[in-house]
Amino acid sequence: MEVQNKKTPDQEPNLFSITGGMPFTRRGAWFGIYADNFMRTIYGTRLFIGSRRGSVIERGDNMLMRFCPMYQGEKVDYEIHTTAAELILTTAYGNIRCCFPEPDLLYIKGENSLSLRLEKTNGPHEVMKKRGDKGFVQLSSWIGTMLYYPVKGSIEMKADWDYESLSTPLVRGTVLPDECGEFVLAAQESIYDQKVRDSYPGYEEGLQAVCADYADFVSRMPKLSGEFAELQKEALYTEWALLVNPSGRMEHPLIFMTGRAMASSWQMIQNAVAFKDNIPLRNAMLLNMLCEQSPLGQFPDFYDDSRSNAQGIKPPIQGWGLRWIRKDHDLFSEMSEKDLLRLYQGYGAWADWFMKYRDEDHDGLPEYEHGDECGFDDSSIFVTTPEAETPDLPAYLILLFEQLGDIAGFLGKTAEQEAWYRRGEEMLSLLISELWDGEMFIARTARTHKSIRSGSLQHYIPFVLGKRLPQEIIDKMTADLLEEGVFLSPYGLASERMDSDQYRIMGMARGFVLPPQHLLILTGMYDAGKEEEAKMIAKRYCLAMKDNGFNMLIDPKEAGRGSFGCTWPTCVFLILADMIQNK
Amino acid sequence: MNDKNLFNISSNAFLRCGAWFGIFMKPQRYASPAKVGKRGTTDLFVGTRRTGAQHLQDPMLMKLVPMYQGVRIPFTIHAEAEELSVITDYGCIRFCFADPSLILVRGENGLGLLLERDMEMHQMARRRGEKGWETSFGYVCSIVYNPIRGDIEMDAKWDYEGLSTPQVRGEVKPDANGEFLLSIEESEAFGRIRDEYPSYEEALSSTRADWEAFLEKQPLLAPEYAEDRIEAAYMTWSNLTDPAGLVKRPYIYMRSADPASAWQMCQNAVVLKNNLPIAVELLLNMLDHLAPSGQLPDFFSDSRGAYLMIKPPLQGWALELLMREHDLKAEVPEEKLLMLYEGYSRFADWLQEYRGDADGILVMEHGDESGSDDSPLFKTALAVDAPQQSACAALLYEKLGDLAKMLGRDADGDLWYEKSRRLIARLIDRFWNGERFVAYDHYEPDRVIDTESIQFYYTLILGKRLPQDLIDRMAADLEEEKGYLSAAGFTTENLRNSPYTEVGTGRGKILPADNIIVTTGLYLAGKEAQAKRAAKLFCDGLRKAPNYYYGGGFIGTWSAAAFQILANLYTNG
Repeated sequence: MEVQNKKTPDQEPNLFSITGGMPFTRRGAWFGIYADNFMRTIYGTRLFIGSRRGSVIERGDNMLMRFCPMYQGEKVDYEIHTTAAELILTTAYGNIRCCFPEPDLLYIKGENSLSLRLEKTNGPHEVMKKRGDKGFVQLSSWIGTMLYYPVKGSIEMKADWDYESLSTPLVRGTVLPDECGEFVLAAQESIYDQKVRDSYPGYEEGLQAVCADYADFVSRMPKLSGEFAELQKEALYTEWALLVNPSGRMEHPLIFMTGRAMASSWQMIQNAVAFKDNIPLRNAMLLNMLCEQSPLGQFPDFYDDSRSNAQGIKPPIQGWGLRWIRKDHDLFSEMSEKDLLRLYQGYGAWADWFMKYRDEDHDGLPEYEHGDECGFDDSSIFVTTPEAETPDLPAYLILLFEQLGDIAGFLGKTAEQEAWYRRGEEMLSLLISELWDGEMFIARTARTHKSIRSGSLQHYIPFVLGKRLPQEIIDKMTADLLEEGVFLSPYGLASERMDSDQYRIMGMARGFVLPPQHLLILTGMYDAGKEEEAKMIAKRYCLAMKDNGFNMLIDPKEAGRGSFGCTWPTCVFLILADMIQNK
Repeated sequence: MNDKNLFNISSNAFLRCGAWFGIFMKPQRYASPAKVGKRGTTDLFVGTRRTGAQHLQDPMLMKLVPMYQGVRIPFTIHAEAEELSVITDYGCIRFCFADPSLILVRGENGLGLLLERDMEMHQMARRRGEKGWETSFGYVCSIVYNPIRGDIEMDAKWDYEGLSTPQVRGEVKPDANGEFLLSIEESEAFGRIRDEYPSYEEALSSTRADWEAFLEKQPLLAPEYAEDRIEAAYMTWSNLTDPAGLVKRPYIYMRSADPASAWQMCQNAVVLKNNLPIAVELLLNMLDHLAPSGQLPDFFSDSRGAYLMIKPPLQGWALELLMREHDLKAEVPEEKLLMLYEGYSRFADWLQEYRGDADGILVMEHGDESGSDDSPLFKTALAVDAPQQSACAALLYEKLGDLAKMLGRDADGDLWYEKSRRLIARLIDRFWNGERFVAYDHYEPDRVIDTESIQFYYTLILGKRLPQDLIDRMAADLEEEKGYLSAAGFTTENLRNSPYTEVGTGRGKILPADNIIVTTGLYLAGKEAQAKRAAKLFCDGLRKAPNYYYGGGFIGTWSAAAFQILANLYTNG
């Protein structure tokens, strides 16, 4: 079978590329339709229902059930068309349509006597068993259950019990149409056992429900126009579709970075800024790390429904996030007092954690202990040492201290307010006196304080401080970043000077144009009064997406050589495009 | 010092109540399991029981090697509940817990200790405080090594390309007096150096006090079981964990790094009948993760719950045994009784809704749901209607009635009692063939499955609620030599008809859970003497017939739970 991924003549262009790693799913769902890209150039793409629960990592893949359109007992070719609410497989005999009426419910509808093949090879203890009058429930170790129920039509299932493996090792089902030539298959996901519902919505009703949810989401996002209007659609779908509902360890919604990998703590804040006008969602993004905060105050690097990676951290950009949101919103009044207090205490403990546990040499400037912790894993600052005092960390903390002071003031805690402000001022003074060498912000080795002047763009992150920085520093950093061919490329800022001996298009932060650096540096540059310069670079970055699709890693010399799309470039695009057009 | 290790160190870690980490031991490549712990046979590790270690494929986090003057030296291990001693030709290195997250290690006579670990990408050893080092493993935990006395000479070079310190080799060196005192501290998030540490003696004393207080509460047993009582109690004590992640209250592990399942919580609650607050917590902990539908997890851990299937609903059996010796209304806080009642009521409703037929008879939808995964009951059928699950549920319904009455909900209690009585009548009607209980293929309800499984005799937990002729007949079956009753307890199948196989667990072997349930069932049904004889056979046989659960000592809590329950039944009735 050969499958192609292109638009049909009478349809709009595909909203997103399912072969690029982006699943067809919806907000809240823990599963979706994924493409298996194995040998895709030869045999085409195969689709499957896949899980994005954290435990899939133990299985090696996230496949729950492979499926394919059939006609008169034979598999048939199809073209894939993607929209936010519907995935359409067009065959020579008609369409198979898929939509998510609810986050845990996927519908697949067939017409014109098309049928659907379901295939899966089970491991030990995994079974497909009957459920209700004509349904089947599939157990997948460590992940959960899928209930398949033909709302219209029937399922002809072959899944023989094998006592030796304690499983039904080979599952082959065919969803057959009813006498009108139609079928509607409900595929419902859960971590729990499931039974057939008393009633199911119609396909059209389900489609309307998901369209309404998507429209509601879109209506709460900033409006973009002109050259960014079309591009915004894919970005919005990506942001919406990669949100998941609370489950397992989670008390709040989280957002995924990619189709399968959870976003980290600082990405939650970046997305909160992208969602600034969607108050409940934005607040959830600001609060969701608090339930996994350690007793000492540390946030995990990231967590999901079943895993927490507390053996890492990401930069404390919460202050930056609050500040940027507050430009357009009375944030503190838009949170319940309980949530605001929780945020104040949690963020306060997080800020304190850096000073208590990451200032091993007690010089007032905290350290990163691995490149991963600054968010630019292989930043060239860390070539010779994993432990370094870099200028971005105090810059983030200055903003966090300041925002904590503002919250304290809002809550009537005047003494605490003054203490936070004082800490911010002291840190700013220390940052400039210790790490500005007259030319650039340097880093230095922890404890031994040897100067590190690398080619990394990370040295320019203190731009987040905006006008808190002296004008000569702002001017110097602006001049550095505007020099064409050094950091500045046609597609934005390279993460490593392009004339550096460490520059390469490999890894992550040794040259690629990256989303978070643009977000932090350009919003800071804007705040520092360099609005036009910030918008010019932002526009280059956003147009790179327009021309080459959403890529997390962009080659600064040949933008077309990008990587995978995910919420990182989409959220940065949404924020920067909003800055360009609406500020 | 007693020469014999308190516990089987090749299958169990040195742990303490509440801990999520410990000292794990592994036989070297060619070491015979029987010789583990003897000079030069064993490798020693800091290990974890956190579920995140599944990503590492191994719970071992750091290899520990005794050193003398820069040379690795062989050692013998001696294990007690509160202290692990590593004995070399030059002296001893001793380990004890100061608290559940802190181990102290003390070396003497110039001995050192090598810390050795190869790290993967993004993993690293980093300095912590003046002299300490921290190793961190994503998803799992941090371990901070701090030489309170002595020093660590660390070789952990940074590799920028691998974003890690790929080879960690640190030698804990003694101080000028030839001694070192190393702290090893575990935490889920990044660790820290404490402002102060207890002395080794203080640590040992506090752990000993905790252990002795625990042991004291465990029932005294017949003299021939005096040593086994201590070993089994260590299994229980050392496999209890503190809250962490999804674990909100005390929880028990099946083995050092494997969490126990829902029905094992019930069995261990009965083991801890004289330690009622913890017993109740074990009955409550699954309710912290009750599904919205009312389903109990099969098991859960610090990271995740497993809900694909269920385990036999033994909660009624556990409550029955606890209530024989305790006035729960007087001894258990009302809010906990309420949580038990409301939580298990929802589970009971779930059983009916998801596994019950119109008569309330329950189906098992996989061998795993019988607790004996590969029981021949499931040889030809994936889903089986059998009496034992319904018997467990009927007892649960009755105990819910008791709890309802304790909570002043008399009308609800009567409904539960009636539901229980009705189910017992129906299960007899459906499954008793005049001679014994049989099962049916759920999808072909007329097809009889008569494997002569011991599981049919789980129905004895209904005790005198069963007609006397059924009790007598089942007791006679269980008395028959070379039938179910072997020299080491009850087998999973009637061996007269079903030959024993080495494969799997449920095809003729002797399983702890079967013996717990059937033997206590006999006792509850009034066959006290027979139950005591069977209990003694099991307890004595455990040591003669090593198996998955017992080999040179208890392996985890399952065999230890069975031993403690049945030796107590034999000794104290």
